[in-house]
Amino acid sequence: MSNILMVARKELSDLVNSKLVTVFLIFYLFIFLSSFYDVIRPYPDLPPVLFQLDNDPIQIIFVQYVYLLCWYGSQMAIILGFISMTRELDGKALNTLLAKPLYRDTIINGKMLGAIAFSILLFVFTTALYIMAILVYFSNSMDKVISFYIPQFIGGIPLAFMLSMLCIMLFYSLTLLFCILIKEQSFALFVSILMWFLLFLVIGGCDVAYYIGIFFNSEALDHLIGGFSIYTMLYYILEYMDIGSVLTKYGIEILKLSLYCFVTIILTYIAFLRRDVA
Amino acid sequence: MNPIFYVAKNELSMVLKNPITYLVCAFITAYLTISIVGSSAVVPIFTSMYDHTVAFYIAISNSFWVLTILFVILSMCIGITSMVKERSSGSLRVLTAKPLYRRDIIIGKFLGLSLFLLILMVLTEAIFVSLLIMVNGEPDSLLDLLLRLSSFIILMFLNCSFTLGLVMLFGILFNKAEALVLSMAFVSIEWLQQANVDFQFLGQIQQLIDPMKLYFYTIFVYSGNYCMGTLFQTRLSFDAWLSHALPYVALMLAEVVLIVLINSAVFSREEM
Repeated sequence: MSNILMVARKELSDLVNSKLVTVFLIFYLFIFLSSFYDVIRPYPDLPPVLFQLDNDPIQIIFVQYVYLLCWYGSQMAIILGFISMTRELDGKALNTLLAKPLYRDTIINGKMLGAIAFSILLFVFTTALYIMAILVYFSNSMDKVISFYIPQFIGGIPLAFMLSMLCIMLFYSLTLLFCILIKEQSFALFVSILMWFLLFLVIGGCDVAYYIGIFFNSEALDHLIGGFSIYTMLYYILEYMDIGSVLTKYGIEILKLSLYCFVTIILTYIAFLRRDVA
Repeated sequence: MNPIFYVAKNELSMVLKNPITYLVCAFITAYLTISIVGSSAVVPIFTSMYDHTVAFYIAISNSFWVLTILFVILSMCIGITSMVKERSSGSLRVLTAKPLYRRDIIIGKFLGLSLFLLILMVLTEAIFVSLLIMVNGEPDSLLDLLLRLSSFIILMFLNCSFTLGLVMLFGILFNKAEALVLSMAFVSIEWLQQANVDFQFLGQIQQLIDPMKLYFYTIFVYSGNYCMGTLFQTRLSFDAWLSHALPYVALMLAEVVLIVLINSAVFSREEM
């Protein structure tokens, strides 16, 4: 156990002490500002999105918050996975590590744990940003904020955490897997980004699923193929903010996302244990 | 022969051997196959609602966003590979020791990779539209189709060239990890966004400084908040679209030239 923690600590300190963490934080901050501005800016003759029709403002902010964590978090997970593997391959650190009296699964466990710890830091940072934004934006009705808005938002944090971890670990392990299986680093990176592109944008969009469904004149087929998209899963899940309601109504979506993550992690373990990675 | 030509030729031959090229071709083939199959069902539906030419252009326009993003991702990956990999393997150092100006190296690399992108874009669109015509029949005017398609390829090419140039600049200035994160952040904010990353208060300036918005507003013709039409809609004549788009195209071209010049200047001063 101490060996795993040692590898994890090294992984985390490598990330935290590099300039990358600054870039990540600026990136998150930029996305947060632009997306938050998008819902609070007034339209000509219309109120901001938060207050249009019977919108629940906290629900809208929560959806944005989860998308920042999952959508952009999974893109950053690709970078984390790629850097984590290639930096050690380039610097021969992985060779040194493999020559130490450590089990290979200790190394991969440590890497995963380091990535989880880093993701938690980003999660805390993002959560703090959104809570501060709610406090500042609704500051003229502080009673409502304290008694209603903040508790409602905090109630959704466990769901956001679970989804964020599933998405980040899915793409982190997927990138590790490709980096292990494919010698050419740029190719491994491209395949990882392509997988993200497929799972988030192509399958669920109005292209692949819609075209196949309409060709076979089957809406069920359209839904089946579209259901493989993580974007579609998140779309359904984010109808609610608490885990209980989501599990009751869209438990299958959570199960699918968990399966994606679980299968990928298992494949990464197998590849790392059995393949000549040095 | 001009040394730029040699570097460009070498870059082109290297990228053609890169497995990324084969994967992209496979992806495009699969995607186009599905699009063609789907269009055989979609075009008759839209023909019954509008007319055949309108339906034909709808089938083309459905694929333009996915193809653009794919080519942007491709530009990012080959741009990163070209600079960072050669630097880490030491081959860039060998190249700079040759009797070549550094600007020739960077311009040659850029031209080689851009040419590769252009060839792939032309082939993709040519095959896609040919198959579309074979399956659904041709639109009213083939000349109009050719003009619109060529314009689309030029716009996509200019946009991807800018991405390529920017990614190469990151590759010159930063180490692999930093260059990669910055490139991915750029592509993510520009293209792989979920929410609309939109700063309205910047007004028209936003269209000029943001490559994705510049590309978007070149294809889509807006008058205030009202969309007058797009490059893919025949209700807007090609001439009308062109007169709207020309200043934007000139700006896109200027941005590409500017980024290549910056790359040359930075690379000439860079310690290897």
